[in-house]
Amino acid sequence: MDVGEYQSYCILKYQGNSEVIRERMKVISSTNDGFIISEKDLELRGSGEFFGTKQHGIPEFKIANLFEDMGILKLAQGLALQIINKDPLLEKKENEILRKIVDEKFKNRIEI
Amino acid sequence: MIDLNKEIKYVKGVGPNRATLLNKLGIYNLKDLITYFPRNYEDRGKAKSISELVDGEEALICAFPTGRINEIKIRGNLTLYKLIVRDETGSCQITWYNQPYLKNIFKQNIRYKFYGKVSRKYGKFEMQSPVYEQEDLNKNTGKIIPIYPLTYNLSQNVIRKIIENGLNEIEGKLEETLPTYIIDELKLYDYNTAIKQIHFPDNFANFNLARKRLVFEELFSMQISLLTLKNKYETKKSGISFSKDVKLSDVINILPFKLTKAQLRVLEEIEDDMESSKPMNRLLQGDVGSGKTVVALMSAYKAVKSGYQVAIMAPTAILATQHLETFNEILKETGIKCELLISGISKKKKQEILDKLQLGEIDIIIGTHALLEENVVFKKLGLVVTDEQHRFGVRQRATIVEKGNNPDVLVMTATPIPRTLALILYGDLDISIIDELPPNRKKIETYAVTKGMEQRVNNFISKNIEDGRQCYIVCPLVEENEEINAKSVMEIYENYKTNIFPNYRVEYLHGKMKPKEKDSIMEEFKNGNIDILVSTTVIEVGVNVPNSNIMVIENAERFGLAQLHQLRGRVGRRRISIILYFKIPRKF
Repeated sequence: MDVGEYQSYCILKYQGNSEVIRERMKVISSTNDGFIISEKDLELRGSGEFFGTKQHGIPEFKIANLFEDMGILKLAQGLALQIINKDPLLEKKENEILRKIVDEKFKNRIEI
Repeated sequence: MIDLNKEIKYVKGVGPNRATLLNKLGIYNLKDLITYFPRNYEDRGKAKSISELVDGEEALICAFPTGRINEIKIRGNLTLYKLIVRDETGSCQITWYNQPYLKNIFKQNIRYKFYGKVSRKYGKFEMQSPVYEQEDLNKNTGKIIPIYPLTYNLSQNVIRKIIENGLNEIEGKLEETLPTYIIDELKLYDYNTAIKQIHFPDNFANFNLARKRLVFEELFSMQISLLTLKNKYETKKSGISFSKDVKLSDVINILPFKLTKAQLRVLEEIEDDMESSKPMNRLLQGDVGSGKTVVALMSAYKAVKSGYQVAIMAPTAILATQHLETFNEILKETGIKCELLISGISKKKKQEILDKLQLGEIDIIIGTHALLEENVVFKKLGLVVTDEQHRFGVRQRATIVEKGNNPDVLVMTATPIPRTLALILYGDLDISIIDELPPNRKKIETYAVTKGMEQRVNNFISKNIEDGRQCYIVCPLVEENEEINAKSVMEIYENYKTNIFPNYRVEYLHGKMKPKEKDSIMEEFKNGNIDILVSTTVIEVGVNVPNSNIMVIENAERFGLAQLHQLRGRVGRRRISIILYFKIPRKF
């Protein structure tokens, strides 16, 4: 059934001898699984660069590193969920600041 | 109140010239300045005894000069300045290059602090070009010093001073940016303390607390915004319940290939969404070649057979055209009418399509941004599919969704994001993942090579071209400047064409070319008239030329791994229609 399908090749010419570059080249040549690759990419470059490529359309972080800060991310998510469940439209006085944060984010149009 | 929008040139120590340099770092106002966070820190806080120094470390010592500086001329333009210093435990040699003004600075009866990288040679300690200061001063030593990322023509000292001035201006007067109850509950630093301590931490424990607060705030803001967005979708009036009587198995049976388990699982998730009255908002993630298009096709089938129209939005005309071909091929026996709406078509044809669409005579419209235009009106839009969503984004999605009455939305992306992250980052969408490739897909053999292997690579390309294959050469985007990118493509193109492969047909493709030129080159490559195509990453968005089986990526170290993976997915890729061809024998 595979008649006519040729073996495909990808040749990566690279310069530089840093450990990170070599490790990245090793990862990409050893697997074809995009999920493993993205996981590794995140680990090797840190989220700043990972998400900074514009490929993802995810806001760039000024200080957070999604690989290192997974714990804080989960904490933030849990709390955000709790707050939204109790006050879906963020109308309570105590959440006034949050309302502002959200408006600001939408003003700058988050690309999700 | 502090005006955080105050222009950067008015901050003490800046002025118009430095303002230009700061702008390059993305710093335009006071707020940008105080949130320009250090990338690292040097602990110049506590002095070490010389005898405790370790080879290779950066350290601070506090010692007396043992004599005058020794000036040694090495070559015409290279002069070495040597100073031996001593504390209670031992001595260390300090060296600088070409800095004659140092000669008269150090006095023997004064203690100085030196901070720099230590080396140990033949049992003797040495420090090269250290930062120095009198013992009783604490300007550049005696504390933890922030190191800032990129500074262009500004020295670390200058940028540090400017940030310090900025911090003095706001000193304790920043408005809190998180609710008090959160700060109390999580025992976080208040905003003022966090900002001060992130730049000039008193100690590393404080730094950790400052960082925690700022990281939390950044991630929490994103989360709360995403959840609000999701909430908006969900609290909307109810959406469409597509008919339970339309069975996806009807399409599965006419498909000329078997679906993977992952595709079937994802289809089930989508079917549940479509049948429920809640509007679907689902992200479909899958690797290049995992079969997302066919999933979209089946969802479209269900929508059409339930009496609705479907819009499918692709990032490029080429991709939209490919989708249309695939849809027509598979759906040809079903009576479903598909059309293409891209910017290149004639006015007359376009008007005809728009009319039919409004009358409901077209079931599935596939197109590019052209679909967003105001004059695109549906009779009964029920499902919106956007492909490669990172190129559209929330707003554009919203524009097309508005053309229906709470239609279901399926967003497809071929950029895999780690599972754990996807769940958190795409807080506004439900997520389906196709984590399995169809069987029989050949692995793309990938080799990372350095300059020394160039000749072998060229021989390999040559051998494949002799066998009738074609080759892509991909150049990295140097920066967001099409002019420069085009130039780098041309240089590489010239080299291949004149020096390496003068006997083959080499062509190029870059972002500065007119769409017509691009299309004609692409067409010729598809038809096999071009042996080698040199291009920027414009091919990334997906042209399938099954006869091209080699992709060479220049300066691969400049690409992200995910991007490299996307790129290589384009070689030798076959479309569904081509697989169909090989399935014909089954009829016998």
